[in-house]
Amino acid sequence: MKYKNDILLIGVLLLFCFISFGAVVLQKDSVTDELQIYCDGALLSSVSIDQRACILLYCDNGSYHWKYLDPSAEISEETEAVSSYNVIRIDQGTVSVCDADCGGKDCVRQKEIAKNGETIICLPHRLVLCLTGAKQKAEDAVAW
Amino acid sequence: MTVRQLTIRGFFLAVSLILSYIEAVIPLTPSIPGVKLGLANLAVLLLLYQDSGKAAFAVNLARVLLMGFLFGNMSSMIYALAGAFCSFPVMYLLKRTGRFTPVGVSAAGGFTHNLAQLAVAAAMLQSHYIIYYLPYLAVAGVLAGILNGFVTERVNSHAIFKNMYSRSN
Repeated sequence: MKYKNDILLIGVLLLFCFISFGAVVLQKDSVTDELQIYCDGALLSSVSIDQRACILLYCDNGSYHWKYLDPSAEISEETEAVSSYNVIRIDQGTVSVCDADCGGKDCVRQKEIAKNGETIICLPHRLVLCLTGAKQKAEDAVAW
Repeated sequence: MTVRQLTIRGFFLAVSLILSYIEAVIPLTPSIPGVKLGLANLAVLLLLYQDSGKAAFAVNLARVLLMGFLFGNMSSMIYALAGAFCSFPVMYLLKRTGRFTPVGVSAAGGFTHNLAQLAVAAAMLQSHYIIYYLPYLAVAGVLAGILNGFVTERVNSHAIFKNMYSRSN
């Protein structure tokens, strides 16, 4: 069979995928209550996800800012005045990006996150949204 | 470099450039950034099989630079360069062993391409959380590579390409 070696090679590659998938799944545990917002590798803020809120995140003269938006107000009115923005929506334990002015809008298309360790990433804005859990923090505290 | 070589390499550069462009304007991103078919690799693979590793690498590099200057930006070019520089040697060496068809060569290329881009993303964002994308990106790279490999194999065995460099046609 002509593809014998190819199948072996692809099998090895897929095995690597499954092992890494298993490792990632094991890393996640379901307890999560905090959203961490990283910009340029630095932690900008941590907010609780047990709430209903909209957060506007934007970059002004190279520094990052964030503020809560009034959920009932029009988002476009707020975002018109700023550039390099992402609007984060928190809805009782789930987090998603509902608007952004980055090129590909991959962050908007990404699925909402709700589990510990899950992330939404906006590469153009160097933004990482990551869910962390109280449980994990407690373990870290013991480890340190 | 003969005129024939120059023409064919230029043609492949144009083809790979337009394939990159098509992918850029019609993205197939199913919610995970960086997942794409990598159609431009078709032209690179074909050159690798029909021409030489040097020609394929040169065309690939030229494509990445042109794409970056024409339609991209600095960061998109860095990602593309990382992908090209890591995946090409893997594909070249696997091809040279003579044990694999374009399917295996291309699958390994897609795999390393995505891994390299993930590593660059982790470095640029200075975040290790991005590692959570690794399994998805790795699988996507392998699958896209297999697809490209089959297409390359079909085109490669076509009569027109078989005699691309012979003087008879």
